[in-house]
Amino acid sequence: MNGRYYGWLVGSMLALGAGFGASLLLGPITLPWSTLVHAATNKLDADAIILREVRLPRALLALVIGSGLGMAGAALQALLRNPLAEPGLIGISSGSALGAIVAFYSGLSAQFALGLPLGGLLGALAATLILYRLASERVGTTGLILAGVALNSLAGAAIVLALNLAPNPYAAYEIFFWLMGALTDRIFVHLVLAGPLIATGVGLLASVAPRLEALALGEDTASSLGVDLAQVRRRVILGTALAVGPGVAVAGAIGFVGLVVPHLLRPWVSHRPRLLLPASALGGGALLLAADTIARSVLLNGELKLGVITAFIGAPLFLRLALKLESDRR
Amino acid sequence: MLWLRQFKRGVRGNFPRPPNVPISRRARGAWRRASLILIVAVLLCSVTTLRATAAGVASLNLCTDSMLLELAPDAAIAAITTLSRDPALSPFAIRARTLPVLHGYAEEIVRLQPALTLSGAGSTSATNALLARLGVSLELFDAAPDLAAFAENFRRVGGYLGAHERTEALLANMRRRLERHQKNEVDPALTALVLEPNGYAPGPDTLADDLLAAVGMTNQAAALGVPHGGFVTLEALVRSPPAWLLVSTIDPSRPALANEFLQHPVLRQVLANRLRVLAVPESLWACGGTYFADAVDFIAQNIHAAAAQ
Repeated sequence: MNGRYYGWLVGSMLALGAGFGASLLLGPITLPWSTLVHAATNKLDADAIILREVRLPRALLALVIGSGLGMAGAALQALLRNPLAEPGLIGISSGSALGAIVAFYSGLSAQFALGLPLGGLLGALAATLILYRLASERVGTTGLILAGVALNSLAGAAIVLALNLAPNPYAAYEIFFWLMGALTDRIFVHLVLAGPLIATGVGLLASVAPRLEALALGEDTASSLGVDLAQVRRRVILGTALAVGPGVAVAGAIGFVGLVVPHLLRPWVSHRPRLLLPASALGGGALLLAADTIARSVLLNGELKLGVITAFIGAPLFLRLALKLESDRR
Repeated sequence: MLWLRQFKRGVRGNFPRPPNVPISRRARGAWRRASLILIVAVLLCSVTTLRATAAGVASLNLCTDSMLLELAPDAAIAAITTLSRDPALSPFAIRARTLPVLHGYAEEIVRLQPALTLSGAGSTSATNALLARLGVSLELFDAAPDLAAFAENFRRVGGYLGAHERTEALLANMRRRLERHQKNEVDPALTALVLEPNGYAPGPDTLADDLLAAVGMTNQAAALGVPHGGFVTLEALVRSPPAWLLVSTIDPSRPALANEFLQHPVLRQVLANRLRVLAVPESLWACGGTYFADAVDFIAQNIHAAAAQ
């Protein structure tokens, strides 16, 4: 089983690499294949500049942010034993957006660049802690989603308030970026700011994947297998905040990645969290890379928001899952 | 007082007219309500008329503010918007601090009872409609798409104020100052793109385009695929960069994602050899004004200074 799994993993990584190269060539202007080769050496050619300075940072960010979202979704679903748990749906992403917005429009991140991802991280951490508190009071599958709806509304209102109070008149128009997400004209600085934090979060979540697998058998069984439940919870909460918050701070809240990816991949890894978590990281990166390539290619004038594309894929799936859970219960 | 005459005409036009259809039993309630509104409106108007001469003209839009501030003495101004107190947006910010300000609420106008209210036609249509219903004498202005339209708007404001001579003197002064630049033939090689926040580039028939023409520059918008103005992608800009990029001065203490486009390393570093960026104070071109000539002087001076280097 494991051998086949790793075969798949290597295969998908190769496919992802090819997709990554192709995505660099696609956009409002389709670049010739040869650009991939001479982009590294030719400093002044327009196509080389486009590929290197405009498309490369956003493709890398798509991979990193997508992997964070995918893995956080898989880990939350395992910890809460709730197939609908997803950073966007349960309010973690909007919490992060609120934190990042306060850091950005107050001028803090202009003085102290790391303030932006840290703002996102703090927002994510606060939201995750609130939700975990709620979830541990045994609210049930739909109860958690309802709590997420409430948290989303609250964070959404606070976001609008913060944008209204921002001194720049353009701020009010920027709510779509924060609530729908985009990688338009993101630069390497954003990758440097968010990348290491997200990677830490992904690593932390990967480190608890085997214990999450034990948790799938039930809390009592997991305890009897020697799993320190409190430690697993702490790591998943911190790991989720790290994997989601900094990404939201640089690219806005992109929904449904953490729902779609683990759900599609679960049958391929025999529903085993140990395998699902790394696979979801890879899948999330691939999904966001594809979504961003579509976002900048389909419209002749302007770009789609990333969250629009992921919601078109994710919302119908969410609806199906929610209805299925409801009918299973009866 | 011309503006007073205008004001009275405006109010009469806003009265609800009684319907000609026979009044059924169900319609009677509505008819009664209409009469009540009519009575209230009449009372409101008579009060307004009593105070009108003292109240002066109010403005609900940054650009009508600007025209009012150019043309009217302080005593004739009832109130302007709070935006005009911002030195980043208005060349009259210091003077605006001594005048009463509005925040865009209909209630403020109703209480203030100015003889005439100037407002933008596009931006706050709900407020405008409410004010018109309340019998406020309202004059709406479309945002001036070019210099000719600005002069038309300017003359309209001058007409309401009875300030014909001052209007024409200011316009003539602007024309004289612009003519000084006309020896600069439009140079097709001296391309420029005006880039607003979020990467919007104005096309022909805009004040910005007139500005470029006055300096002797060619608007690059068409070459970038937005012949009528539109959002320019960074990628298109890299492919055919203009010689000059004209942007508004960015205030770093007021962060917005809209400004990040202009801080992209491609514009700041990669294209630095091929493309020069000139930051123009936003107050000089946020609205049409006879200070348009200041904007032209500013740009021409900077471009010629760079060419001399």
